[in-house]
Amino acid sequence: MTDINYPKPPITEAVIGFEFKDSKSIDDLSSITSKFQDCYPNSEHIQSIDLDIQPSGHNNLVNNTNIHVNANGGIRLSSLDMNKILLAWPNTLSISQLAPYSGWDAYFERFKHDWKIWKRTLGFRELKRVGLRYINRFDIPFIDGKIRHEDYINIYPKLPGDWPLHQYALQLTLPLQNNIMAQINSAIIESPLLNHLSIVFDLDLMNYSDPPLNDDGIFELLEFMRHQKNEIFESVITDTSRRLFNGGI
Amino acid sequence: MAESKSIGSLVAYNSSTRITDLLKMEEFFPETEARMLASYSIAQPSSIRDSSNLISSSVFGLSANTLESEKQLVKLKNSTTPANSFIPTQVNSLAEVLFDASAYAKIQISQVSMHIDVDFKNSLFRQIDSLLDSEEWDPDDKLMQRDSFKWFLKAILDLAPEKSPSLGISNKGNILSAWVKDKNKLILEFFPSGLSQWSITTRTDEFEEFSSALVSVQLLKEKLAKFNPEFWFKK
Repeated sequence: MTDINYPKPPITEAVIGFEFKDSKSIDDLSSITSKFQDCYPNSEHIQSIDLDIQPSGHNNLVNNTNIHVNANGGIRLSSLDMNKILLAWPNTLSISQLAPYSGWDAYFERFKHDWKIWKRTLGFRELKRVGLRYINRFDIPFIDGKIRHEDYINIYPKLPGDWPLHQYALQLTLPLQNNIMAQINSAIIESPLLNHLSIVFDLDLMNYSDPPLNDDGIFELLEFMRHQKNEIFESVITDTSRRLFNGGI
Repeated sequence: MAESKSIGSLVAYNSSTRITDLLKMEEFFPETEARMLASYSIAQPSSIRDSSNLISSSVFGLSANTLESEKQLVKLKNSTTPANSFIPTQVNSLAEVLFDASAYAKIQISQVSMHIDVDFKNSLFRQIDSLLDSEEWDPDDKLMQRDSFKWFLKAILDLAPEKSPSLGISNKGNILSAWVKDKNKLILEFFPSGLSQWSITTRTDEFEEFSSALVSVQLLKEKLAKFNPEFWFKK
């Protein structure tokens, strides 16, 4: 299925991600900063923290708090307008495009450019997993004070009778061809627009075995995943949604 | 060649205010609930950051299994992506604080950029850069309140002005947006609670008229309509 470029695409974030078999130190990761400074002028060191808070239950005191700080941390690079992000952890790399999304071709070219610099700096590393994730948000207007989410999306919880549905969150996992698994997360959320309701449709594809061993294989896999992603997306949305993404109501 | 700008170390997946809230809740929650809520505070995605209240924890005692299910449900709505891969808590310099505020504002705008004209968006970005420029920043200035910015964006998307406003920050950290034409001004202040104060000044050679009111952002468009806001909003 070919890409349909909607004038108002609902994509809020697209992510190409890799998990590597080995890990790099923070010093290794820091070495990429200067290589990417043209496209990502902002750089930050980031760390993950695991918190385990165990309140005592008496006297408003926490008597046993363990805070584990991941010693390696990671690097987050971002463009000046903050809509292009490269996130490097010891064993993962994510290249992210936030809205406005200007189509696969531009995004994929940027990925290939970044991937080339990444490899030149840190060397080719064996992959464990390859992922492609698209997070969409459908902003649906209230019409006559009502919203029928089923008019916009074909995946939703179905209740018996006429009970109104105020909230939902669902997760589906679908096995696809070529050792690819698709995970779908969808939920009703607060809309950033007044008099609207929004539905998040998060489509996360990843290959779970036999990752490619060279660039051609990686690019081919990503192209395949993107076609699968488009096929799922187009089968999940309705003509009413398409009108919305084309700028109508 | 552009110079790489390092803004130092930021800490991921944390929120001091949330944790403070957690500690305050200790007396209401037994140990397991408090631990679960701690994981709630981790990783709030940019696109769905404001939705955490939509699926909420019951204040009634629940079994550990039910709490685990509830935790999974919240995770569905709060997954981590590169865009929301950090929530800084311990920032060490003014530059870091301002960068964080600027990044937040730009990501929020980016998330609704499908509804905004590119030139309008670029104009907002330029003003945010100018407003939060560390070289121009007075240490006594108040940083913008994030909920105020959220309501500002909602209002902008609803009012849909062609002309982008001049932005400012009040001494309470509220976003101020102003449109000035000739000697006539329209100023909107956005409060974190979802209220907006509009102030309109119209001047002729003979008199000056001033009107102001505090309204819900939901009603702002309707209440402004009688003042012909297009006078300011049209290019």
